[in-house]
Amino acid sequence: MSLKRLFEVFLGVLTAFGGFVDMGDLVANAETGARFGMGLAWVVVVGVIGIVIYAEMAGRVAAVSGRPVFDVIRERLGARTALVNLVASFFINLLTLTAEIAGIAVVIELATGIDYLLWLPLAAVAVWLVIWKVKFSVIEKAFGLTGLLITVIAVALWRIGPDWGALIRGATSPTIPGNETLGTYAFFAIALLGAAMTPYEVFFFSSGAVEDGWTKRDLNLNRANVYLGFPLGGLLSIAIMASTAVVLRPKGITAETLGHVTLPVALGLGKLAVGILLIGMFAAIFSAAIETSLSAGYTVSQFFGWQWGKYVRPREAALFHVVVIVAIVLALAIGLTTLDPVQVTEYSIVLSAAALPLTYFPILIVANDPTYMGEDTNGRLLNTLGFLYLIVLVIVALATIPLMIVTKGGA
Amino acid sequence: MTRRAPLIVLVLLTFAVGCGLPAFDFSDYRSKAVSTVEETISEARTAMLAAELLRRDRTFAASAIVQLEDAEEAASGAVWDLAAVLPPDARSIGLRQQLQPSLDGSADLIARMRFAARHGDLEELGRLAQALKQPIGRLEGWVEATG
Repeated sequence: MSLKRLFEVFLGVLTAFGGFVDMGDLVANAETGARFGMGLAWVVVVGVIGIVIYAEMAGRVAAVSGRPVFDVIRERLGARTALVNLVASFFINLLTLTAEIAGIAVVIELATGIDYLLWLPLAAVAVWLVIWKVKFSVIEKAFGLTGLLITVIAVALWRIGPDWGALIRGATSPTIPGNETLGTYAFFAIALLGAAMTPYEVFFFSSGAVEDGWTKRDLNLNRANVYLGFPLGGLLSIAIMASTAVVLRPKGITAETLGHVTLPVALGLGKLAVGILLIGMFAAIFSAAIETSLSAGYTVSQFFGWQWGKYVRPREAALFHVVVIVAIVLALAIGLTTLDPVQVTEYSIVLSAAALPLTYFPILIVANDPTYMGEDTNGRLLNTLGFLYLIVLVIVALATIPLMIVTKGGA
Repeated sequence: MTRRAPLIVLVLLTFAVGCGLPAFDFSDYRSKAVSTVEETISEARTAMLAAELLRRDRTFAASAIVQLEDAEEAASGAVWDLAAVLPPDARSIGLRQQLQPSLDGSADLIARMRFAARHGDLEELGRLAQALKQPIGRLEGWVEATG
């Protein structure tokens, strides 16, 4: 492997690492850490393994067939099945986009003190402008790498010097705290799983692979991204959880805002680190807002067979860009209703969990079809793991709405 | 029509449970009080931590003020939610009389902390954070005693 290629792989891994955490991960991990300590860290591990398995499949389908998964799903499973998938994923994607745009505005509010509602329209316009003006590869790398600044949370945790043994024991021998119920524990487990395995991630990952012109030559890059980048992102999620478990939980603070994520960093490292964290959160959430906006365009365009993507001139993919703009405008409109951004995030990740089988089942089928994959279909181990995950995801999907009602949204 | 009836009942039940039924007895009222007190403690502790970090120059004023604003809004919202529920019996009225002063006092102190932070009056902010320990201590004592 040439040095240039090695650097490319390294950059891809770092980008996947920095781009792993979004508004949903920040909120879900901070909240569960403050409420359950490390008692739900195992769910992050389960979620990361799940996204690794399925993102690798999605990336491989794109690299081998030269087509993104949604495009192949429509052809392989028919328009009706793909339509169900499209409607569910578009709705959840829209909620996620609302949460991400609101998240950008909240981060700016934390930096400036000016109400986030005033920043919302500017955040939406900025997301659209970047999509319109900036090259795909630049977007991917610039925001992914800047998102790495969130690792300052892990440094702050180390600086605070927690009882590592207690943290590891909390993670490896999970218990339900006395003031919580089995229902809320299960609800937040589902939220964490939804945050780690959000559907837009695979749609974006596979469409992005096509945008980047991946071929069979890039299968190793695909593996490096998901096998290294995503688990590192998962470790960062656990660090977020640990930071609130150590600092906020003993004080009885429940971490219901994005501002709570900054408190352990301020305590451990001070003002400069808070600034670094805010920049990192901005980049990570901004990157996710771009990904969700593009995912809206990708899924709709791929379903209807329109020209899509940023690798062609906007004029050639006009309908794709119209869908992106409509999604951003709708998300902005929902955000401007003054719905609490954190609540929107919670609902988006929990509803994501409810729709996970709709996203992942077709990927499993397509990744096993030699018509598209030739000799690169799934191996036996991958199929076994994929199938086991599918069973888990179906159980999670069935339990989500009843749990949401019984626990009143995890209250 | 008959085939739709179970669906309608299910939808109505979902809404009834989801929207939260009014407190019917002391046990419901007490559980509502517990969640209000826990929420208030959480917001007060957030405000105290944000104030401490601001006073020690470990965070930006803008960030601390936003957190104080959020804490104020959430605490007064929680206190208002409990105040809006009609106590169903004499024991519930007693419980409300026991908790309301500490809840109101906490929400008021958090609001004043936000004010002090906005005016850059760090001395007053520290004094208010210190004062907040009293009502919060009472509320924490009540939660502990309640189990």
